[in-house]
Amino acid sequence: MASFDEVIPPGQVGKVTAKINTKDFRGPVDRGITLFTDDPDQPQIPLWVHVEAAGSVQLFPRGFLDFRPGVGGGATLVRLLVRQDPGEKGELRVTDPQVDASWLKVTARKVEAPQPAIEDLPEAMPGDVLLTVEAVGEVPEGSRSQKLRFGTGLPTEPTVEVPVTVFVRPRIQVTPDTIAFGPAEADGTRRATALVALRPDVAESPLVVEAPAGMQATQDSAGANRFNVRLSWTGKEPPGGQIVFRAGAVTRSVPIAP
Amino acid sequence: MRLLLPLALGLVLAAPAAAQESEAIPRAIVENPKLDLGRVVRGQVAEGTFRVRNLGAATLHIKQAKPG
Repeated sequence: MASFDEVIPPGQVGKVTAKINTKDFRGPVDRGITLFTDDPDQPQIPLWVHVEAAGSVQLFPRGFLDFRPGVGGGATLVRLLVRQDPGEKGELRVTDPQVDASWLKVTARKVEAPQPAIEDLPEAMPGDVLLTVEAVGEVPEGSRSQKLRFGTGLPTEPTVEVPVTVFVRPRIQVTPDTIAFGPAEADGTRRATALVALRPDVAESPLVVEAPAGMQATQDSAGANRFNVRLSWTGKEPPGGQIVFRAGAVTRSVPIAP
Repeated sequence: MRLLLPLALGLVLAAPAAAQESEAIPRAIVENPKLDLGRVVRGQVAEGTFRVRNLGAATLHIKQAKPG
């Protein structure tokens, strides 16, 4: 956010005031501002603001977690390294770590000896705390925003809240999510196609397409665990209803556009 | 007459350039285009000021300060 003097007489100095609310930041924050003026040589002037938002702790690799649980072949867990901020007094003691989802489990381990950097985490130092978030049980499909919270035992931020974005691939993903048939061809046939992707944990089962009576459905491979499904229908209007895609006991229903 | 025509044309073409040279324009100089607000406790609002000096002969107008 910026406020400014709109008029600056010749030879005078005006002010442009920049404000950054650090509530949603942790660590270094860099922001740009573009000043628009009537100086013909510099109609736009770039400005930069830097601030260090210091809390009780520093979080690595970053101040949020992006977790894609391994059901789709992604990571099986995600780690967060918590380090006491050098400017903070007291001693970091992580207490009561929890995530607001029953299908996520978080554990905390205090680092006793230096540990080498792993993946995107820096070298861990004694006194740091390593938080590990894992998916447990039945994990809902789709994208969700959760929160990881823990106590620090430190004065500036007794409690720290970390955003956690969790994305779980659907077991059967159909694109598009509505089947729309094209215009009738010369012989009256209408056609539609869909791309179906099976998650690895259901891909051992064959893909079965259940279409309304009279509708033809064929499929061919479009790569690993992916299929092109071609649908055809001969009639004045598409029949409506839905098409069911099945892999083993898992089904996904997709509506037919009217 | 043939000699006067090129002379008149030259004067016409030179006139706008001469006017432009004498035209007063603003000239903006930001004395501190990079502002380091240092370290603040997370959750606080950090605030700082850029100083914009007008070194031109006409009034400088700032139309907008757009973040990003």
